[in-house]
Amino acid sequence: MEEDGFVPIVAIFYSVFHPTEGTKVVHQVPSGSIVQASSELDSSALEEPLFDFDSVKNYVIPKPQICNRLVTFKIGSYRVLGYPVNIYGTHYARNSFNFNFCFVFPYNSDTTAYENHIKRIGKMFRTLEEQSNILSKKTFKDCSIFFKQSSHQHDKRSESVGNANISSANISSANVSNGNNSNGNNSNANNSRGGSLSGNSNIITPITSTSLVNDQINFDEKYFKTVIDSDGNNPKATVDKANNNYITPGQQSKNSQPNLSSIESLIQQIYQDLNNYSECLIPIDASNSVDVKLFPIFPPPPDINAWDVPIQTVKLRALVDVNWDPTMLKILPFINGINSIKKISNLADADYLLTKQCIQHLMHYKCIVILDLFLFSNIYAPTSKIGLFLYDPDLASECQAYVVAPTPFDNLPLHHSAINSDSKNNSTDNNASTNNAARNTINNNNDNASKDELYHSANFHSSSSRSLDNNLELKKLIIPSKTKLFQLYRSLNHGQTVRDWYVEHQQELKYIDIRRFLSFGVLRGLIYRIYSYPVANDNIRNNAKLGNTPNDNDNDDRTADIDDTLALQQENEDKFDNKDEIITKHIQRNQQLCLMKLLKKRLNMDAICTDMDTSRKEVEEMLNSLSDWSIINR
Amino acid sequence: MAVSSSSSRKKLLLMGRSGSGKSSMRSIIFSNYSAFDTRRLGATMDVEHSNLRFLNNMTLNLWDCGGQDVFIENFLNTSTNQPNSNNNIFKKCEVLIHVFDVESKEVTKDIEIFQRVLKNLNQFSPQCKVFILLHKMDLIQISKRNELFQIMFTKLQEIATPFNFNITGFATSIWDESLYKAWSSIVCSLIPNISVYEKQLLSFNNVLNAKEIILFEKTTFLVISSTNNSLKNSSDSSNDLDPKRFEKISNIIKTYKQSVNKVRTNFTSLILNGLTSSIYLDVLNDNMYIMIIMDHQDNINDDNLVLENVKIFSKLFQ
Repeated sequence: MEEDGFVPIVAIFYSVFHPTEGTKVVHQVPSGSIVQASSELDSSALEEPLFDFDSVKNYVIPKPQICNRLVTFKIGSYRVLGYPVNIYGTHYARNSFNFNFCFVFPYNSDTTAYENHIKRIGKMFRTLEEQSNILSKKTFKDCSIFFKQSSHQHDKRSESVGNANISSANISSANVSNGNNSNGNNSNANNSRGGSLSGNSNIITPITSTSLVNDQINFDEKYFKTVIDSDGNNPKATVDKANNNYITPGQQSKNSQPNLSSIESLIQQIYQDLNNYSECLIPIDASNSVDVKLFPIFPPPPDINAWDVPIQTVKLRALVDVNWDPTMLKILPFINGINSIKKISNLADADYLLTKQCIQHLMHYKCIVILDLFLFSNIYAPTSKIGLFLYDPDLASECQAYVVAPTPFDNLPLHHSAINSDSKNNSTDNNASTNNAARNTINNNNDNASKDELYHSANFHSSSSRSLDNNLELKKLIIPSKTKLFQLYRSLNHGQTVRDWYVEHQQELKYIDIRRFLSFGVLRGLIYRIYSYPVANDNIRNNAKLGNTPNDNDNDDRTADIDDTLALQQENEDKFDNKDEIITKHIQRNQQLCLMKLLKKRLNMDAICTDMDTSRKEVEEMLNSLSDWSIINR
Repeated sequence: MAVSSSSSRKKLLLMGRSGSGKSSMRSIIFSNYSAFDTRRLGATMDVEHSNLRFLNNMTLNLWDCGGQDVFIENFLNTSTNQPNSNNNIFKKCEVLIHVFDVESKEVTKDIEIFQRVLKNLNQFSPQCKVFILLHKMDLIQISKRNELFQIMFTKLQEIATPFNFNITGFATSIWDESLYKAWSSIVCSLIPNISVYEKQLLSFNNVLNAKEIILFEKTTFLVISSTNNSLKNSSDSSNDLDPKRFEKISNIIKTYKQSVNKVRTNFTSLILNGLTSSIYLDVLNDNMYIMIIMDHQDNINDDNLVLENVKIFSKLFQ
């Protein structure tokens, strides 16, 4: 990666469609990069052009249908970005003016940061050209090639005026045609010069033929100056003598018309500034400048789900300042790699949608990565990239440092049933993550601890307090070896839940924090999570049809339903059902419907649990009550 | 007698230096621009293609090539350096139309380019027909036009003979009917069985006994064929027919068509009744118009009768 992340520009060139010669590269930097350098004295010129310009010239100045948009093409090993501009105007020879500022980059590079700027520069020059013809005048020393030659039909008007007046008339009429906003002023100037073309100052007449204009310009330069000096009323129509690069007819004073000293120096400066400083601010005149600052552009964040678990990658708490969004501040303490987004919004008492947006923002700025819920019923398996663990020693050491647990888990009850019963006991509060329930009570207590929360069972509470209290006892800490870690990763397979796997490898997992072990593996692409998808048989769909609730409500509308049903019931006096029963039945019914809807969407278990706010076991029970179902793990 | 219906594609190359008037001509003939409208055309980038379905079984591909120096160099160099590439425009060419600007200040260069074009053409399409158009003739004084044309034409013929090309030349301008004459000839040279049309027109004329019958192509209104009865009546020499009448008719009808379009309707048929003769212009089939000029004779001509005859005749033309 480059130092500031932006790929340096290889070359910039400015090309134009010449009416008789066709597409030409007028200026290029570095010299000789696109076409052979014209002057042999330039020692810094490249010996060979970077690519064959002739083969791509039809894309640099393309047909009008492609113009006025960002056009990118590949030639050789280079990528060229440009914004070809086609301006239609009857005062131009051939009725249009075509130009393009092109930027050349190596092909395999990320040029997204430049794209908008190239478009902007193109559009800006298009507007400047439309308003005051700066480019068509500045491109060649003999600017009149771009404008219409006078034709014989218009001779009658000029013939009536004297010779000296013809030149001034033509030049000042060029004023008229080229400076829309100075029309009024020019006609005044004309009239004050002793009626040169008084009646015709509003008519756009073409400039005289090429050979004449240059002579007249030189001749009349003095003429202009003398006249203006005596005519104090009109300071605007001055010829810019100070600007020695160019003398053009119709050149207004610096304040009223953009003045581009040289296109060549402009693109040279853009090239140097952008490559050296990633920004440039080059004034073209008092009111226009080429102002570019390169910013890295991140792709928009992908859509995230309620059951995703965010985990911080930077210390967000350290970055908080006064301007942060209140929702963001609220949810920040709960982003710990354990809480799903739904959970975070519940705990922080924030609106779910706002929470989701905050998380997406954090993802966009790469402060957060997304994991999945950690449950003992998860299944993981190695990916093909597990070999990286062996090839990359840094990866392995990082893993070691991350997963080592400060205290060993030797106090855990290890019986299979014991673990299950523990988790069963703690699943009373219907949270999505059953096993997290026990943890979460501890987590909430230890909220002030660092984000590296260990999970413990109820028994562990004492040992964790022990670990914080490092004065007391120093427990022996054995860092798991890389081999062991690798073996453990490899031993994960499709057929085992984390629970079973833990029981099997208990000894090896003594000093290892399982959650961090698994999340490290997933984040680095060493293992991947296998999701369970419950799939219903057709019976469920039939049951849905039989059910007589016509509404498609969510859980939130349950209460409304209940009221309706109760109201209905009260009308039927002869039914003396238990109100509570009705409600529970109703809730049950609604839940079942909800579940059926979710099943149709083919979501995984995590999603269903989160959406319905129930534990996995309960979902399974509900499914059992509905009909046959099976699980697909993938 | 039915005309054979095998479809054929003919490639026409339209070349010449920049600003000589190629795109203007193309737009007038094939896109129904008026001469004034061509003012707003821009420079042609690389090549522009026009396709025209002509007479049911023929498609004309017109390649309007940009005339700027870089483009011409490109065309000539590609055919020299990469003769087999698809970009070689001189392959499989039926007609080359080379346009010369009569006002050009670099006549030598124009001729030199023409020579190089002929050289490449000879290499890849030696059977090609070559037409020269000396364009923008309206800018020359009338008295000098013929002379200028002859000078140029002889010179160009000299250039072309070593390549065994027989060239045909026209002096044209978009501001008068000469454009139509030139293009009519060009297009008619491509029609394989023009004699068939003439024969049929003759037989039709025997029935109708009209003064003149002319066949036009529908979109471009170029004259395809015509037959004339006045040759029979040699005593009727007071009417010297204007040799330029065809193109004038094309021009007039085309302008009329455009004005009709402005009123948002389409032109279908026209009947003009004059003192001594009448003109009937009607659709013959999908591709052609027929114009019949008849004298008022003893038996009063029923317009409908004529039109019915036309309809019957059109069946013969399928």
